[in-house]
Amino acid sequence: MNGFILTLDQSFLIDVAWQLLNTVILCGVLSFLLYKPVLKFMEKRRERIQNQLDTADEKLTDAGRLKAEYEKKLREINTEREEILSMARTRAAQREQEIISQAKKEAETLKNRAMTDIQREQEKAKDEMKKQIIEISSAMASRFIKASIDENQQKKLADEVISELGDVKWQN
Amino acid sequence: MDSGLDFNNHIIATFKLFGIDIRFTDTILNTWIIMAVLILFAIVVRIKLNKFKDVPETGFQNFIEAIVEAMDSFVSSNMGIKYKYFGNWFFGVFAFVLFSNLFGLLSFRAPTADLATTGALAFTTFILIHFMGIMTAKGSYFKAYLEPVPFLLPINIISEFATPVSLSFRLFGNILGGTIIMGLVYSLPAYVKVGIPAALHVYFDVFAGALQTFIFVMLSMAFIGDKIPEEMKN
Repeated sequence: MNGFILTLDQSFLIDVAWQLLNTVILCGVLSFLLYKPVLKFMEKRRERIQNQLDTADEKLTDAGRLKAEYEKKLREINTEREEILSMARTRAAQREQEIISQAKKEAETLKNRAMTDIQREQEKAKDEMKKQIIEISSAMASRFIKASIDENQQKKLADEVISELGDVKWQN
Repeated sequence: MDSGLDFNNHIIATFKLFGIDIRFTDTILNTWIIMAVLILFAIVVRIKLNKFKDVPETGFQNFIEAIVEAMDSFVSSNMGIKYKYFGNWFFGVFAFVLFSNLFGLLSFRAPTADLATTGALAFTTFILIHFMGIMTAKGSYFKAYLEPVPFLLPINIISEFATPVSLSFRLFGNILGGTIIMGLVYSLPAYVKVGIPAALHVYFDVFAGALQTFIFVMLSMAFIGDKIPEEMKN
């Protein structure tokens, strides 16, 4: 088996061409089977992760925005609640005053009416009493008169009354 | 040679195609072995890729992601994010050169210890340098040959051609040197050979091999990136 270390002739050029072909084939196959697919795989993964990070970021900002919004709304609701409560309180106080004053007024009217009633009843009782006193006194008087005067005197009295009545007529 | 020293790139077979002698050498055979291993590995990765999770669960996925990621950021930082598709090319070159350099560990002759291999790689770099230069810089690509002063044109042209030569010979020389030294060491009497070759393998194959791979790829990227105007890189 003969060999060589270095020759610079036509065979060398053919060897170079041969090795060129070998290298190109090897590089092509390695690129096609290994380098490109792996790079593509990693690139895709990078993009996917980037996308996920982006969406996560977006969601985080969204969440922050929503949180601020809700907090604002909560604050608004609280203030509104305070307003409504204070309004209700003032209205309730007003109403209380109204009810009390109305009640006082009613009580006053009731008292007044009761007073007039009492007065009227008093008057009535007084009248009644007077009437009865008059009745009793006239009954007693008639008894006294019956017992003390006779017929003549009666005639005389009747005449006197009649004449007096006549006088009154005349005077009128 | 009767000394048992043999650093040669053996011709396994020759055949004629269109009247031209074509030799089938150790380099070609070993290149095919490496290609087969790498392509098999790529097929395994392609199949397993379907089972890759967003969060890596296996060391295998971590490893694959790490090497692809490393190459991606390596190209991006050297040539600009816009030209990171060069990673497709340099990933293959890196894997091929690294495996070639490490092939000596398995007592194979490294394909990169043949100028045909490194020459082919440097040639592609040379083509890419000028193709990208013309495509991106347009007129200023040609104007650059007249700078800083027009009479430096011949020197500028020579320096352009020196680039692939230096690239290919650097890698070739380093690996061939390692191969020769290893051959010499293995030709020593048996009682000296205990342990010493292992340490030398670590230096010449693993350390120098990895370093030269890195240098080759790095320089290729830098040379190509150099011809792309700075403002077009992002």
